[in-house]
Amino acid sequence: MNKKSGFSVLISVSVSRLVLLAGSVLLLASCSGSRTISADLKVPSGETLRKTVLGSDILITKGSTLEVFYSSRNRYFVEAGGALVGFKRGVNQTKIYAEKGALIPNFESQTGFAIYTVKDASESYRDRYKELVPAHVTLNSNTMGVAPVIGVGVGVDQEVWDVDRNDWGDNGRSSRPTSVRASSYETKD
Amino acid sequence: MKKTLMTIVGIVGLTAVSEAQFAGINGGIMLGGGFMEDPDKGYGFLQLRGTFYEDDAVSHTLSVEFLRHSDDAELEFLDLAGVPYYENGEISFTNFTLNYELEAKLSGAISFYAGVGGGIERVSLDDAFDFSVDSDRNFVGQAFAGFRTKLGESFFAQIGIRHLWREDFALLTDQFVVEDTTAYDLSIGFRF
Repeated sequence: MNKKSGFSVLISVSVSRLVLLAGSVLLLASCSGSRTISADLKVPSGETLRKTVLGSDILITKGSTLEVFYSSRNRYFVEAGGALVGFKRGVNQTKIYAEKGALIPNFESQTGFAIYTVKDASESYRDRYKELVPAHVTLNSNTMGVAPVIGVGVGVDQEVWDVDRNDWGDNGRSSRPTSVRASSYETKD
Repeated sequence: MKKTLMTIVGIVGLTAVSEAQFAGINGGIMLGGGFMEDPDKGYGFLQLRGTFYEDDAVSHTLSVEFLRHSDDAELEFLDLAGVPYYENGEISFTNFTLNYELEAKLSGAISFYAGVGGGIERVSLDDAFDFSVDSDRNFVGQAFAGFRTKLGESFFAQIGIRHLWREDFALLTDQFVVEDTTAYDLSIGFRF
């Protein structure tokens, strides 16, 4: 009787551990592809993430890769040896602060972004709320230059964007689709 | 009501197939794929079969079938400023049907089969990150026929044609038109 009940306990414990492990794997897998909205994110070294990014600050560390589907109102800080790629679905009001040796997209024909060279992307990321956008810099594809991320007396970063950037909570509008089109089925209208 | 009835019939059919070995019913599994004309899409299917009557001339079989195909989709979102942007997605269609089949044995190896069935088509929309966004359920009916050949004692292969009656579906705020269609498939099976 004791041997039989002990064996049953062993089986149930093993099954529980398997379920817990499977759940963890699924959770980790789900985190590698998603949307980042109004948040701060540091991409760990060695990781590759695929995301749509809205209203966020992202640090891409050495050895990591961030593939972006669509980008709007974001700031990316890219260390040398880090890679920022993608943008196949578009880019809008986006700033990229990159060290020399960082891999960033070749935005030949796209607009909606600005690229700055910085000495230390991690430090720029830590000091990002002190950013002061130089008055002579315009946000288009031809902008390339060195801009100090550490500014003077700016205060909070909300002044950089309009009031929508202050919405740190997920209002649901950006994370749930409003419409769908199928490639092989027509809509009734 | 219709969906409840179909679910009950499906459960009875599955139970019947699972009891095949113990109640004088010959069971079987079939795996196949095909192509449907409208839309131009390939599909795969799995059938769990239970033959409840068989003699030298005919056999009568009930089966539960899972048939699946998918389609690419584009999802529209609004960003923080209300500007639309787009992502890839996928719509998957899974049919769960209960079917009756009559098989007429033409020779030692070749037979002709025909049948009808009905069930539920579940339509599911996933986003670019494989998260489920929305789903819909509708009735599906089918009629099928074809030729079957024995491959040894336990295996068989068949080629057939089927006609599917499907309903329109809705995902998010969009309504989609679905046409009834003819499909062609090949499959192999195993009897036990």
